[in-house]
Order: sequence, then C-alpha cells, then structure tokens
Amino acid sequence: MTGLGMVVGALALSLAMSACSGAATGTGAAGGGDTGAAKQIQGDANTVNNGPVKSGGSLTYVLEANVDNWNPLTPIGSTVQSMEAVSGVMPSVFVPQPDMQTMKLNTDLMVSATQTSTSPQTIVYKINPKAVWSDNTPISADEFSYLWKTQNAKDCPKCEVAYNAGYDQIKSVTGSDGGKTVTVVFDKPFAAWQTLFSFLMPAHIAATYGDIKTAAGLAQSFNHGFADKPPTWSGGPYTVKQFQANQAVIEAKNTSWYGQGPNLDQVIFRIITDATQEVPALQNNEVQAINPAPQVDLLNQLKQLQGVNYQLDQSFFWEHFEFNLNNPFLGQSPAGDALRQALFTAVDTQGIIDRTVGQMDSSIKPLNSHFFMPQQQGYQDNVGALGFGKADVAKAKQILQSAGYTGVGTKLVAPDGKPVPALRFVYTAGNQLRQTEGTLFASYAKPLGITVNVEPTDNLGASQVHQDSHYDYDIIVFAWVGSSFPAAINAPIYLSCPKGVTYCGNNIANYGNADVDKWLKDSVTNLDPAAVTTDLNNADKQISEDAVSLPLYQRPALFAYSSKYGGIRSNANYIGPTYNMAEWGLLASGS
Amino acid sequence: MFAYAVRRLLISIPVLLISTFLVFLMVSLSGDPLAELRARQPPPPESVLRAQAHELRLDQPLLERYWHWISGIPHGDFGPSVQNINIGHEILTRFGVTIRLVLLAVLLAAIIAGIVGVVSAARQYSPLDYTLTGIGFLFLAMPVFWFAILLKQLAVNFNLQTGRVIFYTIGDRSIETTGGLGAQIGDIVGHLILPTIVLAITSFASWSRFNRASMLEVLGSDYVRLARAKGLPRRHVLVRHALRTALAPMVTVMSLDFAAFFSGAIVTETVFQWHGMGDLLLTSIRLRDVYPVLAWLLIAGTAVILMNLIADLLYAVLDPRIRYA
Repeated sequence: MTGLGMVVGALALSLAMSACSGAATGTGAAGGGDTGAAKQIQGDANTVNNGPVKSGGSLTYVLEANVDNWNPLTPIGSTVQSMEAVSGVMPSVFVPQPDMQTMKLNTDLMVSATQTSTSPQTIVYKINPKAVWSDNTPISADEFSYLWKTQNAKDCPKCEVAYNAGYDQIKSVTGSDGGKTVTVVFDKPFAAWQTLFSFLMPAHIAATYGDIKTAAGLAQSFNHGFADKPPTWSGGPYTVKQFQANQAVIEAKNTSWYGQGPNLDQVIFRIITDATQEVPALQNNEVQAINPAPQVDLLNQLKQLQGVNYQLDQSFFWEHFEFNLNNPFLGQSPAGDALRQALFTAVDTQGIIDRTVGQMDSSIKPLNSHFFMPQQQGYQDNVGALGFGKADVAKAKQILQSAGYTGVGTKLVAPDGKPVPALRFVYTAGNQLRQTEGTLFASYAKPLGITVNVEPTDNLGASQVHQDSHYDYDIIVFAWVGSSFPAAINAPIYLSCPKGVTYCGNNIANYGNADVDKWLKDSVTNLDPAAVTTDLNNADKQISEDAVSLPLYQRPALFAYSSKYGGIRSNANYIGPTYNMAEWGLLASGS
Repeated sequence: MFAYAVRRLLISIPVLLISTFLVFLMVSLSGDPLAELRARQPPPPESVLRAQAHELRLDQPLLERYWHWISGIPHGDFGPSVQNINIGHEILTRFGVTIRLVLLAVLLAAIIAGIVGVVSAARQYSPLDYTLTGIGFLFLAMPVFWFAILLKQLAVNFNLQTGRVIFYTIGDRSIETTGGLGAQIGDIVGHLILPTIVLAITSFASWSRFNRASMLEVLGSDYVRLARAKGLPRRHVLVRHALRTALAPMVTVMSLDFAAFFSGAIVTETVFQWHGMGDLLLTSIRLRDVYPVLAWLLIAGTAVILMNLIADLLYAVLDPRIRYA
C-alpha cells in the first residue's frame, strides 16, 4: 500500500468509525478518559477549578494574533495577546481577580502596600527582599520610578502611553531601605491607586536602551527598547525562552523566580488567527486552552467535546447605544431630551438580547447601569427603573406628544415645526450582532414615526470622534470596557466638554451636566469607597434620565481548557486568564 | 531561445511596476490603517495616532509614499508596517512556509491528473471513465474550505479512535518536538499530510479534466492514427506520441495555478493555520497594511512571470516544432 493509500484508508476507517459512534465518543486525545460532553464550570469566580496540581508538564494556550509589540503599557502593545504573553514575565503589584472587583496584592512580589496617609495621599510599598530579576538584580524602587516617569506625561512627553490615569497625579516616588521600600506621594488623591504599577519593567535594562535620566532615553526604552523585541529578562515565574513570529511564544520556568510555583515546566502560547480552528485543535490536544470570542456554532461544537471544561461568563465589555448630541434634533434641549427618552422607552433591550447574544447564553440580562457590572458591589438598576428598554411604545408616544411633537406614529415633526429627518444608525462593518441591533433599533423607532437608516462603518474609532458638521452618526452601537475601579475609566466618557468643542476625551456624544461633573470629579479623588459608589450611582441616575446612552448587555466571554488541568480559570480583566499562570498545573488526580 | 527569455523578462518589469502602483492606490484608498488602533478601548491619545501616522508615512502625499517605497527596494527596505514587522524578512519566511506546502501537493496533483486524464481518454465512455469523471467533477464542485474542514474532522476522529495524534490540524510543525530524526520527520509529515491532500485533490480535479480533453483531441489526430496503423504498441502510442503532445496545454494551466499557489493557497493556509504568503496577504488587507501587500504582489507577480516563462520553455521541450522554429 502506498503512503497515500494508507492515509486514504485510515481516513475511510475514521469516517466509518465516526459514522458508527458519533463524533463525540471514544477515548479523547484531549480528555483524560472522561465520559460525556464538555463540562460547564461554574462557582466562585476566584477559586473555580482549584484542584490540587502536581509539578511538571506543559500547556499550550491560544493567542488569536501575533505579538507585534511587547510593551503592554503602550497603545500598540495594549492588546490581549501582548498582555497575556508577558503577564508571567512582568510582575504587577496588584492583580485583578476574576470576580471583577478584587485587586489582590501580589504576595510573591510584595510584602505590603499600605495607604499611610490620605492628605497628602501616601502609599508605602514594601517589596519582597528576595524579589529579583532573572539576572539576579534586585527588584527595587527604580522600577516604580521608571513606570511613573514614563507614564506621568511630564518626564517623558514622547512616551507613548495607553492609559496613564493616576500616574499624572503622583508628586514623588522615593526609594529607601536599599530600594526595597517605595513611598509614593500624590499631588491629588487617586482612589484607584491599586491599579498603578502593573507590568513592572527592569530599570537597569531600560538604561541599556538610553539614558533614562533624560526624556529621550525614557522614550527610547519605553517605545522601542521594551516594545520591539521579546523580553530576554523576567521578574515573574516564567521567562520567554523562544519567540517564533506568527507561530508561538514559548515560556519556561524562570530559574531566579522567588515566589511560589510555577507548576508547569513550560507554557506555550500558540498563535491561531482563525477562531473556528481553535475547537478542532483543542479536540486534537494540539492546544489545551482557548479563549475565543463566543459564537453560537463554536459554542455548540465545543459542548460536544469530552475531556474539556468551559466557562461562559460575562465580560467587562458592555454594548450600548449612544446618541450624538451634536445633531440639533437630538441635542440637550427639551425637544431633544424628549426625542431621546422616547426612543429609549420604545427600545426592547431584552428583545435585542434574545435575538443576539441570548442565543448563546440565556442568562444574559439587560445591564441597566453605566458604571457597574451586576457582579460588582454598588451595582443598581438605574436605567430600567426609568422605564427605558422596556418596549413601551404607548409611553414613548406620550412623551413625544407631551413635548409638542406632531405626526407621532406617522411622520414625526418637532415642536418647532421642522420634520425630524431620518437618523443614521452606525455599526461596525462585519459585526453581525451589531447590525441586528441596528435593524431592531430601526424597527422600534418606526412606530414613533421616525426613520432610522442602518449603516456600517469600517473605521469605528474615526466615526466616533468625527464630529464636525458632517459627523458620521446619529446613533452608534459599540462597547465600552469596564473596570474593577469604574470611576477612573468611565469619568472621561461623561465629563462636560469645554464650550465650543464637539467632543472631548471619551465624551464623543458631547454630553454635559453640571451635577454629573461634580459627582464624577469627586469619584476619582474620593478615597472612601462607599462615597465613590454613591457618587457613581448619582451620576448614573442623571445620565440615564438624560437618555444619552442606553446600556444593553455585558458581552459574554468564553474560556475552555482541558479537564486535565487545575488552577486555570477565566478572568474577564485586561490581564486575562493568565493572571495566575504560576498556579496552573496538571491535576494531581488526573490520569 | 535565450534572447527570447531575456526579452520576456525585461517586458515584465514595467508590467510589474504598473501593477504595484495600481495596487498601492487601491489599498491606500481603501481605508485607514489606524482604524483598529482608533477603535481600541480606552482610545489612544491623539499624539500617539499622529506618531503612528508619521511612522507609517500616512502624513505624506500618496505619490511621495509610493516613491519612497519603490526607491527603498534596491536597499532592501520594503517600507513600514502596521504589524511592526521587517517586511523583507517576513516575506522570505512566509515564502518558505508556502513552498513547503505547495511543492508536494502540486507534484502529487500533477501525477494523479496525468494518469487519470490518460486513462479516462483511452477508455472514453467506459464505466471507468464515467467513474473518474464523476470523481473529478465532485472534487471540482467541492468548496475547498468545506472539504478541508471535513478532512480535518475526520483526521481528528481518527486520532481520537487510535488514542494517538498522528494527523495535526494546525501549523506546519509542532512548536517543540522531542525524539530523534524519525520523530521529527513524523511530525513534519503529520502536519503536511492533510493540507497536501486538500490542495492536491482540488487541483487534480481540474487538471485531469484538461488532460482528458487534450488527450482526446490528440488521440483523434492523423499522426496517432498513423502510429496505430503502423502497428505500434498501444502503450507506446499513448505515452510517447499522444501524452507528450497533450501535455502542452496542461503545462499552461499548471504553470498558472502553480504561480497562484506560490502567492499562497489562502483557504488551505487559513484552515490549517500555515502562516504563509496567503495568510500574510489576508492579514495585511484586513489591516489595510499597504506595504506588505505590495511586497506580496512583487513576489506573486514575479512568480507568475517566471512560471509563464518556464511554461514557454517547457513547450519547446515537449514540442520540437517550437524548438526548431
């Protein structure tokens, strides 16, 4: 028999056998002799799949794009794949936990991080005396100072920083105790101080790329030195052993690691750019963990696999409709307010969910908050309480009539006698879910006498900020990303713009309310968490009442892994499931 | 013949340049290479967008950008990329991946197509001809991605049944292989086998139809009838006289297909995650990354020109009338 004949014969045998037994039966290469289909794992988000593990073995984890930039603090490098690839290499002071609200002190790296004063706000960090980089240089205050200087926008204006909230409010970073104690004093209080000093990079390596006492040297090291090539150093449990562009990042144990674990000898990040190929690769045991964007077909396929655990959780990404208040018909005026409120009253948020993401996960409910996720303390329904998103067409018509609109239900005419023009609803080209959401929005607007044209944009970011007289949209659908500290990330979306501009910061809608400004400004500087929650809920109520944007739902997140592994679990935060790589391991009880 | 080949190559250069210019215009005007960056959450600062635009030469006039690109090529500079890659190095690596995927498949397809074409023509309208024709049309009609996914699932099921990973579904090799030379070869073959079958089967289908039609035309010609009348053995007539002539049109089709493969068997590369030329083209178009697309076009265009030239030269080998003309 020729080689080809053997292959054809083997495949024919496979076809015959699978025809007899079904695709999901037999002894799975991915599984450990488990029977039945994939198992959905639920429970405490922070400890789920926490079985005892043994030392040794390896795990292959899928990245959906090549790692083009290795500095996760730059805008280009702040991608999922970059953060996941370096999270076992660049240590962080605090690590965001899967419950979406806890920031846990990295006790391998740190002894403590304590707020010793609120006026001026002062944090004292004590670094583990044993903490060293892989070349045995101690991890010290120099690294804290480096991150501060590169991100505060003063010492290094040309440093390309993705998100510098908090660093620009620090007055000083001082080392003592041989560099193992760091005292950080703030100019202005920063409530989310636990988000600072993530992804530490070695200052002594930075100095090899340029003089880091100068702005140019800082920029060279930050924008290029740490970004262009994979790190040859490590301060975490793993070190990059090899990078094969477009293929894989291979990470092995850091021999100078000073903390607990790691259990696995090796973690391989395998690059698979087509999500539909991830499930067969998992089934064939070529990879052991995948983190694809959930789709109905992919999820159904995954459920058939044996020896596989999966988690279908809600992510920090939340989809919403946002009005463009630069449109005179939709602007902040009594008539504009009524029109926006009427449209949101007519929308059926649950109906949208049922026809889109609800087909994957029937537990998804309307989000109904602009700041908090339902999983977070402080969450309350501020949107649904106003009757928005409840498909109440009669009430919507009444709002319009009370405001002086005519032609309600036929051809809407504004109180000033001008016919309301057709509105442009813009969604991301190629995004089927958002297109459906647009079509549904148009159908909800029609009974009010409003025509909505649903149009794609192939440049969402540009459309969002293109706000001259030829602006790109009247209503837009996209996702904002939440955070364990909702104030700092969300405030720039709603803080008023200066007079005469059409957008500012992330306030693309050009929304403004003096009370909201007051609450939001307090929320980012108030060091009392209870007061911050009150501020945010007050702001949320007002923003909801002003009907500037309608939160729809939290986007679901899917994470699947071989059931042979313990310690591995989903994490919706920016750092992803790799947040605890040192804890991953083969289950001690596994075959 | 040599002068002819050189003339053909020289004529190709302006054609290649014009095509790069047209593609440059089309890709550059098709959208914003910074679109993905602009849509990030939280959005990047305006200063970063400006710096990126400068780095990618987006702040220069269109013609100036093209001139920078074309004048950089002699120095090995293929321009900047959104993907932060050295385009020259990337193209070389990707080309190597694609060549590995394509060579064996083309060879396999050519042999099978040759045999099937001859057998079908020699036994025209026999049950065997109908069967082979049916198989040919089946594979011709089958969408490549569907066939690839089906084959992949069959292979995964086979692995599951045997409890061993014999067929691999992603990549051109395992990231790390343990064991000696045998294990290394086994790993390479295990990765190569499925995409090779997909490419070979889909190419064989069309090539065998060409070969059959071409053979039938030749078998009906006077000189073949004469050869038969002279009492030459059937096999001798088929192979020495008919097949050799019939191969000429097939060489044209194969050379064009082969050139297309050089530029990337896009669907096969995607399904099996071979990061070759096709994958580079897809990714670059998706990101509106113009310079890798242009570099890709240079390679693809050169491959077409070279393969056409080789086809012309092969005509001369196959047909003495051309050689002596």
